[in-house]
Amino acid sequence: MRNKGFIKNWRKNFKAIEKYQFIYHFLPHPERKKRAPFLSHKAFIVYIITIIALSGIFRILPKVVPGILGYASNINVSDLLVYTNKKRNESGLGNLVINDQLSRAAAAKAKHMFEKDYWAHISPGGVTPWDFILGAGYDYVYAGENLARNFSNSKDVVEAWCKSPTHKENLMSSNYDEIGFAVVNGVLDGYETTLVVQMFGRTQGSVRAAAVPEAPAEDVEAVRVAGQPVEEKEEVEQVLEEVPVVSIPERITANEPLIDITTVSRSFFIAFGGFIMGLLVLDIWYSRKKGIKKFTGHTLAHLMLITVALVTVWFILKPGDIF
Amino acid sequence: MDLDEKHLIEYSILGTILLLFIGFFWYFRFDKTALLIVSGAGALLYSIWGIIHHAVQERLTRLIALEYILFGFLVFLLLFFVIGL
Repeated sequence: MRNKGFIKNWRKNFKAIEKYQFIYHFLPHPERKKRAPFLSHKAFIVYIITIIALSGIFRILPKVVPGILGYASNINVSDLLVYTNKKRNESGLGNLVINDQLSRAAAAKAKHMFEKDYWAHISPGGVTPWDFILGAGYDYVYAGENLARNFSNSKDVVEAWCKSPTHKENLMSSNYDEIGFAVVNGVLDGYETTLVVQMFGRTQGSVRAAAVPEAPAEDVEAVRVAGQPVEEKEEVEQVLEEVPVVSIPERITANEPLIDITTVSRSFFIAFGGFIMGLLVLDIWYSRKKGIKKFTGHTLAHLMLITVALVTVWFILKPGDIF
Repeated sequence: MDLDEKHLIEYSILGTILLLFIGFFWYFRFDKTALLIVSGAGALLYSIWGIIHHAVQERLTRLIALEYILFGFLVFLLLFFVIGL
């Protein structure tokens, strides 16, 4: 009897009811036959505006305060060489040997990209990879270049190159017998990142020394034309002077920016996606329990889409960009 | 063909779309531009599926169509946020 009276009084006590009102933001409404307010059209529009605003902040912030945001990485030359040669061996090709001149050219290229703030094979001023290679004293017959940035580990870098036909062509070319790497941390386009430069080559001497001369291939990145003028020579020489003659393979320390974009964006995606997923599950469960027939789209279909999006980002998406 | 059978066929189509989305996402996992295109196409196909599904069921209203468009766009923006950075 006491309990019944308590319930009766509780129902009249608006303050007590108000205390638990927030729960109806998460649950479908039995009388209005609508979804929870957090799954309404208005809520979707608010979420969309919030995501657009966040994307804007993450793009503007590096321009205003460079170096705050970045990509954490742990890439080193030794691993890059091992994975590159492993891929070549799988295709029946021989190992590439590290060449210090090519590595110096790669280091100069990375330095030049950070200094001039560009991400391309040819600089805005017209400096080509071949200028760096020749500037480092490597007298090439065949040469090629692969670039990568924002990756978290060495294996992903090589896998990404192998997934791209043009980069794979360089990696798997029998025209090269030497390789050079540079793994350099710095600020590019406002983001703290790690640039990976991979340069391939074969010298005049090694071609002459080869027992079986190779036919000139059409699919190589560059076949040097004798007497080709080196553009922007002074600029290249200046960069090369600042790059020390390094002993390769050199281990590179990990890059740890103040805010790691990969972690932040993924965490936000998982948290927000999980929140929406939870609301949709709650909607299905509560509607069935209370027999609420809503005149809306299918919650199950929404649930399927958000689950697939979460799975792909969690298990498949990898950070990094190649050129 | 009863309603449950119709639902099953239409949900199978949605399942196929989502499986294809996963497949393409995996295949282009190192190509950011392609991933954005795949995400956009996935979200668009989802919205179209929702609208056609409700039209076939003769339950399509402007609000339902808007719901599928908004939800598809929301998921695309979430993917854009995480892929584009």
